[in-house]
Amino acid sequence: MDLCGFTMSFTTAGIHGLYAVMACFMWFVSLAFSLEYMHHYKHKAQYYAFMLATFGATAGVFLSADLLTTFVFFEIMSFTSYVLVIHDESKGAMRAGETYLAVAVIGGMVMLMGLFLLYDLTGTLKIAELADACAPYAGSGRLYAAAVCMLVGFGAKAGMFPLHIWLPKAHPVAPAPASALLSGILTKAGIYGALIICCRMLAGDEHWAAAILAIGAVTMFLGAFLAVFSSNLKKTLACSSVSQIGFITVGIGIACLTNNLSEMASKGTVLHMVNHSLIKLLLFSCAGVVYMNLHKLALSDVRGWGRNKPLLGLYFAIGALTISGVPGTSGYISKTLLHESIVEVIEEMEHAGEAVWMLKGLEWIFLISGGLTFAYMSRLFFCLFIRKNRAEEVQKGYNNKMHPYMNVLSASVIALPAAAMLCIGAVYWQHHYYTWTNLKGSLTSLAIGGLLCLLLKGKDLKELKFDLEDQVYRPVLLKGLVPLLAGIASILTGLGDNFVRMLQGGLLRQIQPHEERFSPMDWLRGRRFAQRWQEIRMDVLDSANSLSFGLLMAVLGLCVFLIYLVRN
Amino acid sequence: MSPVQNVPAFSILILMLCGILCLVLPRTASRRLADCAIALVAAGNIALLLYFLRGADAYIYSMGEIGAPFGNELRAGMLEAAVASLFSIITLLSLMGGRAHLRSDIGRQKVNLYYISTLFLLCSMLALVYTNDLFTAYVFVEINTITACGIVMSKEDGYTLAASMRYFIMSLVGSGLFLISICILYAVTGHLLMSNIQEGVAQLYAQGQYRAPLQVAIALMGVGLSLKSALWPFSSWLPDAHSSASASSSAMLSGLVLKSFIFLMVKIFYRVIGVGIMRSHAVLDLLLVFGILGMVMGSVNALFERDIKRLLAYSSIGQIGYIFCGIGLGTSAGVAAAMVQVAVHACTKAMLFCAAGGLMDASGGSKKFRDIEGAGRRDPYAGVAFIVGTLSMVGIPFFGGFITKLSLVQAAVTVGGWRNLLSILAIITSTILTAIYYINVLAIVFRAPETAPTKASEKLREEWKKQVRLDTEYEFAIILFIILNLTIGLQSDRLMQIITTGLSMFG
Amino acid sequence: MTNAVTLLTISDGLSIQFASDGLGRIFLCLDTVMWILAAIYASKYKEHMKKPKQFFVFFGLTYLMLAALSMAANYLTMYLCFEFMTLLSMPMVLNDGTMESIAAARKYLMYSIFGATLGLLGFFFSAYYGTSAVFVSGGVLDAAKTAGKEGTLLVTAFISIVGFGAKAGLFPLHAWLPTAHPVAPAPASAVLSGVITKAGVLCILRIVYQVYGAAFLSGTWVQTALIVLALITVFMGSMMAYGEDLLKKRLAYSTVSQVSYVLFGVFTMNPAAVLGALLHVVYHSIIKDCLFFGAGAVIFTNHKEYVSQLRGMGKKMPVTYGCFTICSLGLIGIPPFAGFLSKWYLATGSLSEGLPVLSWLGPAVLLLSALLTAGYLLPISIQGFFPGEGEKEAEGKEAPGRMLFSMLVLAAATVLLGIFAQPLSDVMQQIAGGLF
Repeated sequence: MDLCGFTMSFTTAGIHGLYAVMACFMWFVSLAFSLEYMHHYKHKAQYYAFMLATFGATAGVFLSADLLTTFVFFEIMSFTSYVLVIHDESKGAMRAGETYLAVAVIGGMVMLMGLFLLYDLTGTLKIAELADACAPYAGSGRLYAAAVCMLVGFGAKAGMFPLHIWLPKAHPVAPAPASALLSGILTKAGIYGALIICCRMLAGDEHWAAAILAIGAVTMFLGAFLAVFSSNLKKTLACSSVSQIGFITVGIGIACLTNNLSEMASKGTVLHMVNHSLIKLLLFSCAGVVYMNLHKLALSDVRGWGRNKPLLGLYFAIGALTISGVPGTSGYISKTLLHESIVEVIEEMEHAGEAVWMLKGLEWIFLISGGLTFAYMSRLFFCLFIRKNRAEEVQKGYNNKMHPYMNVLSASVIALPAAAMLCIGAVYWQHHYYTWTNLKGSLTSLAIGGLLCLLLKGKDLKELKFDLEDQVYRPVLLKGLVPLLAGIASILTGLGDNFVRMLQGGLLRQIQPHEERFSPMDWLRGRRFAQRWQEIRMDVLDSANSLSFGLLMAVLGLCVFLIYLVRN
Repeated sequence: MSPVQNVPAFSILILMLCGILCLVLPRTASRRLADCAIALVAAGNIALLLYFLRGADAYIYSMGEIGAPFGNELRAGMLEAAVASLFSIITLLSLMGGRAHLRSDIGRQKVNLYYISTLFLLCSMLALVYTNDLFTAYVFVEINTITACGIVMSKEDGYTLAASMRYFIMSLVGSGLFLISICILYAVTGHLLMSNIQEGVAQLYAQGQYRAPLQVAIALMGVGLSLKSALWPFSSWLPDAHSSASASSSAMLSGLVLKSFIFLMVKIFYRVIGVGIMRSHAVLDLLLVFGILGMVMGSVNALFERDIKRLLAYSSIGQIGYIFCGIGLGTSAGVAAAMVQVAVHACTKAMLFCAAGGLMDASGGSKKFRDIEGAGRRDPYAGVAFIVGTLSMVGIPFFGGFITKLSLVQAAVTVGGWRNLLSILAIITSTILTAIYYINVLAIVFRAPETAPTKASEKLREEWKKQVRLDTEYEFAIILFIILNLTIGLQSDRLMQIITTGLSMFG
Repeated sequence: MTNAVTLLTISDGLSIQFASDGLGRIFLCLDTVMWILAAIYASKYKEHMKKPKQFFVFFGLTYLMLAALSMAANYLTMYLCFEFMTLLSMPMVLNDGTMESIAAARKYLMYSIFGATLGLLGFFFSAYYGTSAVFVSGGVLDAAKTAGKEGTLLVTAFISIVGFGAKAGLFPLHAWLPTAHPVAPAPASAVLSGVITKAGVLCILRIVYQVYGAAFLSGTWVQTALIVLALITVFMGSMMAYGEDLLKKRLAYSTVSQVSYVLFGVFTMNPAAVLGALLHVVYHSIIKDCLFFGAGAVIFTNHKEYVSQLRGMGKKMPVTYGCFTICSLGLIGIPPFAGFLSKWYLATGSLSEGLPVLSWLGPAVLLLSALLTAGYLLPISIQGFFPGEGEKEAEGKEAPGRMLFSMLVLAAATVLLGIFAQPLSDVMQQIAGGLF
């Protein structure tokens, strides 16, 4: 249909339809949970309005069949979700919202540049035609330029390093159902775009795949690392999202490397995307339940609250196990698929005699990150449900089961994702997924994680001081780049005016008395000489009005006339 | 021979006669006589112009029926008639506009003398316009000089006397150079009637004889007349003389006297030297370059002035530069542009000087900017006149200034080469600078005194509060001036037509 | 242009002629609609003005001149209307009567007249070297006469375009804009920013495409220089707006930047880019007028001029701020609001034209400027609606009905033109194609 000046196209094929359905599902669960969560909250109308708007935009992103439509809805989605992020209007929320919006807008603009370049290069933006359209330009600088720009935009939304800075700040401050959606599905919108870039535009390109794999590796590890050190419930979950996005990115990278031929990579990526969406929905809803009752999120405060809440514990456990990739869960399936796709590629390359040390390193990072995942998830679980709170009275208060901590509706809808994951796990309970080679990978991860747990048991870890955003991005941009550009701009602006001022000297002085009497001559000569200069000027002017001067000029003119005419 | 053909001779004679009569008549009578005489002459010349517009040809009028080469001749054509009528009308309007100042500046006893000078001045200007004899031209040039100095000197103020002495001396130098050049021409050709001299000069050029003397003659004539018509660098006398004179004198001097000498110069180029030789003569380059310098220097000097009449005087130098630039281009289009500027500038500058007089009246008699602040509100006629004058000087279409600039640029473009480039650059620069200082004046003159801090003294502010009594005659004159300017602006294509046709029958 | 009507013949070859073509009609429609809305707005705002009668007189006269300018059929008429329009719009600027506004009006006058004089230069040369006085798409230059004189003609073209660009705020003659727009009363600022700058754009369009012709100018140093100037202005305007606290001055700098988007498209001389430019003319007028109306509403009802004073104002003036936000989003270029499509065409046109470096630098600068636009417009809306807990909130009340009406119409137009952009885009495409 023709809207916004060009033809928008939609499709429900493949991943488009899948994720549209996911969106519907997740919004359903979130909104249902919101009924209870938001019951005593402020600005409900605004919340619901923007939730629905974001839903529409997100569905639009996934259902779009050409990149321009994607862009339209992507931008709408960024802005409507911003309102959800700053819903609290607390200082932290506004700051996080600032970061979120800045990253989203910058990312959006850079992505638009990428779209311009791509359109100029290939003449089409339809996703179905992209692979063929880009093939002739493989390896060309222009294609890379377009791809990089687009990746910045999509990657920022997904939360890939180095644009992940907004995630750990924005997700915690948003209301929990919104966080679930932000983590679960909005990031996937970014991944969706990354998929298009890697698997349609640049499929098979080794350099690009290497770059993606590197980004994925760093993101994986970094996210997990941050999560281990975080002491806020939702922040841990947010960092965990970053990490999982890293995993997905690795999967995309492998798919790109093998030119979409690796079935395991493709399947693993999609499955992990679905899993992660469901997991985060579940976990954030649980966190929401905690907040709803306690209005606190720091781990030291919520410690021990879940001790006598078995249903919640069950939900949380399902989520934690799935995300850690414990055998039997759907998470295990997706992680194994990803792991095995890496291994497969390593084997292929060894056969071909190429250097595989980088990929082997990647594999180890994969496993370690998986271990870290297990470590922090189990830490959370233990903290909430097993340990007792440091303060006795608080614990007593928690044990008191006076009011129901979540009503029936919430309990049932939160069950849905849990059930979905169990179903997926069951569906995939097939023999070939549980061979020893496959299990080996998972168990290695778990072992690492367990080790770490034991090491860190009981220790209260402090938050990391280094914040990429505050220490690098903000100073460089706001204290370095912006003042520099502003300085250049003010010089340029002033050029016209200063030129005019120079020309007119003091002409306008008497009619603009509020302006400074700036006489460059005075300044150059100093006050003492200025007066002397004035005197000289008056003398010259006086003599210029005298008769002798006039006669002198006349005679000079006469000479000029005579000489010129007589010579000609 | 149609009776209207007698107009040139009779205008001159009537004016002379009335001038002499004014000597003996009492004050009011002489004033009325002067006004009537000038009005009559104006009417006569307009009738002559209409006669030419109906398709008559230029004609030669011998004085006293004595034939050439011994008698004296007048020659009248469309251009001369147009210029003469314009001069007369403007003289009349200037007198009317500056009448109030005559009373205060000159004093009741000597007002007759002023009228005598004015009548003789107009007489000499008309003579310069119509004459066909070189020596007569010289005689009237001298009369012009003396009467012009007379009207400046009549305001007995130390400053005015000094200025008028300077004017007189420089003017006499100019006349002297002019006389030398006439002598050379007479010596070389043996004639004094312009048409005869032209034949002689053409012959000499063809034979290649007496080249150097002829060149010197042309040079001296050029310099002499340039001195009198204020071409830069010969214009240093102008600011003082025109600014210190009384309002009507300044108007006549700036508007008319300078132009009469320019007209004479053009006439000599066309009729004494001859168009053929003039076309490619080197003196035109000089006139062009000095004209351009005048355009720029006049405007630059005006920028720094803080005295309204001096500003107008420097502005005149700039505008005279335009005229010489047009003449210097060497084509008939250029001369036509120059003539248009003559007409337009005469009207505009005269109006501006009269208005300046009005502003001074409304500000307790001072000319300085700080004192005339807001005067445009106290004397609205002067204010409107200044607005019209500014719009014309800046070159806004529908006012006269536009057509002069346009025709000058068009003439420049057709000439091409360095002349083209230099002229256009100078026109642009000068127009921008003109706009700046005129708009500055408007801003000062229209400033509402309550809202702005002012540097005028307390005494002056008291003066301002006094009710300004405006002269009805002054108001009437200003209105007529404005109408005249607007007419010339709106009818500019008619004006161009008259000038071009006039030029074609000029040589 | 066909069927030019001659009003007055000054002399041979010089006449005042009017004719209507697609381009002129678009500008005329835009002028009229904006003027009507501004008049409705001003009918309420006049209570805040010192000399309402003077304002309305010159308001109407300026519209007259603008209409005449849109219909001008030859260079001389266009120049005349341009000059008169400057003279007639100046009193609107100094309506306040303060020293500041008088100085600003003088600055406006000087820059505009200087620019117009430079613009007049082109007239002399086009009259001499041109085959027809009336504008003709593709240029009127006589090939035989211009042979060998291209250098001169290019110089004059450059000078005239820069001259007319003074009205459109093109660097280096833009300095009057940030001074004059803030001191004028809000309806005057709105039409100055939104419509009168477009008059400069129209003159440039005519000169580039209908006097000299795109074929003559494209690929020359003139094109490169003009695009560079436009890009400098785009960047500079946004950057200065980013750091400005006075709300109306911020919007004025924003105008400087946005009108150069249009000029960028015009100078790129590619049908798609010109399409983008024409669309942006309409979009920017609508959006900027609404933004200025909003700023004026804030000043009128709550007497607050600085952005830093407006925390929480959005809650007190929801409709005003709502319109403001919608238009801000449009200006940044967020689909589906008006403003995205024009940027799209500008960028794709520039890229497809393929000028070295500039073809991609142009879109990059445009997007940088869009980023800065977000940086200087979004905080206003955000701080207005979400002041944050514990922050001091501004006192205020909602603007009166008539002012809201104008704003709502424009905000609705922003949304509708953004979503249903096809009809306007088709019309503009036809006109853009007709210029080559």
